[in-house]
Amino acid sequence: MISAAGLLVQQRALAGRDYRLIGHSGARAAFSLGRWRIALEVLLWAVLALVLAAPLLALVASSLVPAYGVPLNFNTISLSAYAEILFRQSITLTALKNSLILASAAALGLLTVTVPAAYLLTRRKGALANLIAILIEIPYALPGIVLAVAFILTFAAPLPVVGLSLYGTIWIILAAYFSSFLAVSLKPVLSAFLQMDPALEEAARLAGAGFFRRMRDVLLPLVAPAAGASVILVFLIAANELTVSALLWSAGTQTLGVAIFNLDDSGSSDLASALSVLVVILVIALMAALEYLAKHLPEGVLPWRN
Amino acid sequence: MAQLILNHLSKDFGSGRPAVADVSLTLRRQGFLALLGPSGCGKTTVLRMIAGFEQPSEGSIFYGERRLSDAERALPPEKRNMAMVFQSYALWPHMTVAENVGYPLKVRGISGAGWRKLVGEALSLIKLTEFAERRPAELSGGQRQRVALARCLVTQPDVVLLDEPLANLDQHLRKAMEETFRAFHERSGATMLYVTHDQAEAMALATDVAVMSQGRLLQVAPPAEIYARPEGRVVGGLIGRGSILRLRVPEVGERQLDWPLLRTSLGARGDAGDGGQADVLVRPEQVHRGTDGIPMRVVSCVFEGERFALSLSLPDGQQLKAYSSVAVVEGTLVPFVVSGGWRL
Repeated sequence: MISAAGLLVQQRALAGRDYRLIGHSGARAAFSLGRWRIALEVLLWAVLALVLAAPLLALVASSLVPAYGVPLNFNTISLSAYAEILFRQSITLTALKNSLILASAAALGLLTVTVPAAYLLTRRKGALANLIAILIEIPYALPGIVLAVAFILTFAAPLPVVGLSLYGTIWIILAAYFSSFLAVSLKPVLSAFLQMDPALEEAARLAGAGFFRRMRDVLLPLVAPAAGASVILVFLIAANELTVSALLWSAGTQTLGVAIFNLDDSGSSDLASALSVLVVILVIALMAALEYLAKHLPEGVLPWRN
Repeated sequence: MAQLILNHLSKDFGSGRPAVADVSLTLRRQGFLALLGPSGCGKTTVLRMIAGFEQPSEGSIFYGERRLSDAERALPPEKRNMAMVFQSYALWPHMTVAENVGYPLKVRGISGAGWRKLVGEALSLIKLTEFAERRPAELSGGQRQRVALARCLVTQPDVVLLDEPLANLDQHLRKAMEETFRAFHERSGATMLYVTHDQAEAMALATDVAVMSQGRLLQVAPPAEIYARPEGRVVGGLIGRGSILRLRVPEVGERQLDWPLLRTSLGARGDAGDGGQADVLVRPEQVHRGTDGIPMRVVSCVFEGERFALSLSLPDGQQLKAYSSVAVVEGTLVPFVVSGGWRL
């Protein structure tokens, strides 16, 4: 209810505004800070160090020592946690495989929904489009735990026709991911469609291209960079997801988030740290890929570039 | 080649006032019609209805015997064999210049040597042969516009629609592009419809000028005709740089007024006397200095390069525009002759 109300307020506030870009966006407003500049920069770096660098370093440090509380020095340092995680614990590979499959399936599968949806939302204005927009955003605004409970309640009973229960299989996690990340997947594609000059499609229509033809030749190539960003974004978030899968996992369907949580919970903080460090490296690699894509993307697609 | 006929065309977007109201128009075969009007007058909506992007609320559009649109059904744009030059150029950024120009051919199933020949011809016409493999982003505004034009004409469409195509170009380029448009019109033989708010552009290019205001079609006539004999205040004010005066002149009979008659009405002082007043359009080139003229006060004198533009004030306070080859001191009283006027 609260999510829906918030989304309604947002729609009202933006009602009737068409944010299609016509010209170039202006230069960013900047002002000189004068002699405060040094002080502020130091402060900012300090905050960054505190919230970002310190926890990361702690993570790396604890992954290099045999147990929690052991001080890190030349005698205690070892990569055994990484060796254990990578080569001995079968759970790691299972979790890694599960998370990668789930994240790729969610990212690519959602694209087949969000590209047509974004097209319809930009071309057809009206009450129905607004309703669809809200429906898409609700699961994203919901806490993952709430969503997971909803999915358990829905899919605990066997499916009507086929008589199979999704509960306890990897499919229920995938279904919940679809629901949860629909909005994440939609946003870059929707921005790309919104910022596209409608005349580009109209010119293709007058050139004689029917719907599928112009989709293939004109629209899809133009939204392709945004679709790429959408895939990576969903992948990035889904690969690290915990709250949804925490309730939906069962033996053999652990995700990376669940695996780290379980390792830490069972006292193997060194293994948990090592796995976390590996995940961080994965995330950084993906963000670098997005950064590389960024120059082809509409502005505002990447959450960290604005 | 058939005629394009608009039949009592109306479009209401549901905002209370219709965007286009009861527009009937027949485009001459192979004609070049300029649709002229201020922003928001409905001219672009007419264009979009002809293209098929909007469906009329009432009325119909025919191409020859073929009914393109009415309130019930509309043939989709892709089946109309029309082409359009958009104000934003609408070139596809991911295709090269040659691919942009050749796309309508590709959709029609023309490929290989035939495709290369037609695209090559089109590119040499717009003198961009050496740019064939460039992307639109690497071209200047004028070059992009020429590519858009070539894309329009490569398939020999029945009707070519141009939506303010020169609005984003500078003055110098506009003149060159006007030449290109005229040459293309002569060459292609397509019926062309040109939407603009720039009356000089409309006059220079078109074989016919149609003036719209507030969704209605006010007058359709060849450029010289509409300049000399405009109907009503709106058309009179839009076409050329004339001044519209309220004068007491005979309301029947000859609408072309001469100096003896104008001298009487100008001298009579608008507020005095009996009888109705009428709007009279006076062109600046019809106002000259002359010893037998009526004294008028020179309000301003602006040098425009080839001449001075004067703003004159009549004895009763009405303003009048005139040209002069020499500078006139502002604030002085100078006798002027008004050699002609047109009762609107």
